[in-house]
Amino acid sequence: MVVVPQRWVSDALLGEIAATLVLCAVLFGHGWLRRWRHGRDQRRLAPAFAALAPVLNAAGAPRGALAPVRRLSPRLLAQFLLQVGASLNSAGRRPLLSIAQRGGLVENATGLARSRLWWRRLEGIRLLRLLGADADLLPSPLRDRECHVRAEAAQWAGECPAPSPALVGRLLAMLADPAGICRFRAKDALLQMGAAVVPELAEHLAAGGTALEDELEVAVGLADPLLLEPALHLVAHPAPRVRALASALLAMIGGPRGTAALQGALADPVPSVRAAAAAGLGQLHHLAAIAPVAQLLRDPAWDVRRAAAMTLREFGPAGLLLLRRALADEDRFAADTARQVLGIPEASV
Amino acid sequence: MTFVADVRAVLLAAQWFVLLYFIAVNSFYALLLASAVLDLRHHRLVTQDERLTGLLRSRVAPRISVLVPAYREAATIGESIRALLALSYPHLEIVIVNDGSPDETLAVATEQFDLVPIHPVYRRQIATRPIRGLFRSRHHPGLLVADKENGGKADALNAALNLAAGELVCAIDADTLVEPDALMRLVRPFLGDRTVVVAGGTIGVANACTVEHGRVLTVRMPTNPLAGFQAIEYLRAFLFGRVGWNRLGGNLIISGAFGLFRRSAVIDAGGYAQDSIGEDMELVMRLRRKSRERGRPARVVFVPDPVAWTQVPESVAALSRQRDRWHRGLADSLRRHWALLLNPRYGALALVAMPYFVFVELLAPVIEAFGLVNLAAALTFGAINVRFAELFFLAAYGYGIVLTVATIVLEEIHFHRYPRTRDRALALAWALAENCGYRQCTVLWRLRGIVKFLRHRTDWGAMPRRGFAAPKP
Repeated sequence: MVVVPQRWVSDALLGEIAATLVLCAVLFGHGWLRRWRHGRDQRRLAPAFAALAPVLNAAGAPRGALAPVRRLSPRLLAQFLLQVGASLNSAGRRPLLSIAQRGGLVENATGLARSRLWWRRLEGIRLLRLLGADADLLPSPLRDRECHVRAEAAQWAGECPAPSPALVGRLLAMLADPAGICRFRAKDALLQMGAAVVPELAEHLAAGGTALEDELEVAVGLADPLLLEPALHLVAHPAPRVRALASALLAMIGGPRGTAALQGALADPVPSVRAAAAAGLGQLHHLAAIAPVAQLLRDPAWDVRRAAAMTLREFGPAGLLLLRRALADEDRFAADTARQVLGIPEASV
Repeated sequence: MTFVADVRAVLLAAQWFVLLYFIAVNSFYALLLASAVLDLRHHRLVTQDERLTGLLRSRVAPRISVLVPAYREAATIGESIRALLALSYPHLEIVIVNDGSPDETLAVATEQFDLVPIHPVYRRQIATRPIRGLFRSRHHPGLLVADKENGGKADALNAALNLAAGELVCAIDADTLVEPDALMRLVRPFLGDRTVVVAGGTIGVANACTVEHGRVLTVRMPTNPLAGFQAIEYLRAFLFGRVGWNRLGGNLIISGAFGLFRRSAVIDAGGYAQDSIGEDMELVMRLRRKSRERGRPARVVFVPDPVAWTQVPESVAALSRQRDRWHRGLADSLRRHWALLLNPRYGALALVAMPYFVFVELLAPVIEAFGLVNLAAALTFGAINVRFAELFFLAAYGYGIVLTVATIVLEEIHFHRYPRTRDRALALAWALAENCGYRQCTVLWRLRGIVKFLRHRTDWGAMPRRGFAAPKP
């Protein structure tokens, strides 16, 4: 029989009991502390909410009306303003920003945004953005070494009412960021900025680069006529996805040169480009392309056949006639695509 | 005498093996817990004070199609669809597939959501049983309902995949209630990162929660012991099991009840396997395997804060069938990808994750059952004394209790979903009591699953649906 020292058993048992007791103390202690803090904070916030209402309603609040707000600690003040701000539009949040400035919150947040610790920098940038503070700090945080800080800064930049060319340029450069979340936020911000982005974007598209696809996605979202020249150039780019996006951009811009380029793209060797070109011609209702589009019903790629059939449907009576004729096509894939787009059940054909 | 001495030696060696196995397994769990603590801390720092509403205005957020296979869901389909329609996400489509239900599932959906027949153009990239009809809601254009011949859950999911228009697809069970902001949280890993192919969220136990209009209003720890033990198991599985694997690169299971997939990757991999019992785990393994074979990264991420709620069985019979099936599914998935085990070509998947799932998740019930039987025999033959037996229980169960209580503390610190002291006390009680019979029952059920797997049994068994609790007046 093996003899296990008693000490092993008693040490293990004591260790487990002690660990469990400590964890139980944390479990219940944390819960009670959180509930106590919540109650205390709610008691302090209630008069602040009541004091703020007349100020926001522009009802002419008496001097000193915001005293309950000013008495809040920086942590509670931030919580209070963010809670109120969540249900207001940007105009409604302006009084909150002046309260935050007078309460020293903006200064605190700016200080946080310069911290050595990335989570403090993130907290500072986020607070400044949610308060609607002026983006004086930008574009520096857009170059932060921590990706989450850069992403948050990009989101803030997107809300700038009058972005500078330097800011736009920095966001366009961020489309090549190694972190996916930064690329996403930059793209979103550029689309939010709207027309202000177009001149810089056109230059970037003309120069080429590693982020062409993302830049084209932004361009498609903006669809400005200034982007026509780069689109015409890029529809002949070596990369298929760039050509497809350039076709989508031409479809958004339109015009005779655009439709001519799209018709040329119907013969592209890559299916996704042909499909984008066919869909684009349908979007532009370019009836002159009805014949080459109808030929694509026999394309070997499903996506192309579908895009061609949907485009013919968009063309109205002339297109529908071609679709009905295709029901009897000897190419069964063309016939099936036509049947699906015309909404005819399989058994009827 | 020599024979008895030999028997004692064998029993002793076996008991040492089982003891060391439990110490190793629980120590690995402790490592997972530590990894989870770091991951949760990082997650909290990144998401603190985050406002998800910005995503609602985004023009580049990926479109999500929520795929819901439905079979015999007449009692809950209305509430489930309402909850899905209330999800906050900018570009959302909901695809319900009625998998040939013999009850009134389709009729209930048609009546409650004013469905009309449509003939959309879509590509049947994965073969499925025929679709009898497609319907769209007049009042909710993003709701698409397909009625098809019965073919099983995987077949229904594949049909939904064919119909879905989203870049990402979220597979959920029809009786799962997803929190309104869950998709906005779950989509985060995919934003701008094309290497992520799957993301999973947390599943919570809804049995004692109050539900109104498809939303969980108050979260409560179940008072029913079976449901309570399962609530603790779910906390353990999701909060430290899945989160912990994020940093160890080995998430192999994303629950079929709530997971977000990149549609193109799933179709490329051939969709859900129709002859598999554990189709969700099998799909994730296949996605990761194919990505390694093609030299393209495919990350599987677990996101702790999006939550979906589900009912768990409250009867022993239903629970035993469920656990039996899950274990058969695990065994089946591992068997299909057996060639990966310890193959360095497949990296952490083969060198860390698969060995864990084989030697811990799959074989644990075998070793535990053997250990208990051997313990009794060893005590009888005098190979070990009571002190050894005490050490064994402390290593096998006591250590596990500490880790479970630590998980409950993690939940309280990071999410605080159970605000009442009573619920936390109940959670603690279930954590302590689960080793006094419940755990041993799950060992038996999983053993039964292994036996059935070895006998090639593939049935699911009946899973009764109760509907969610209405709020108390």
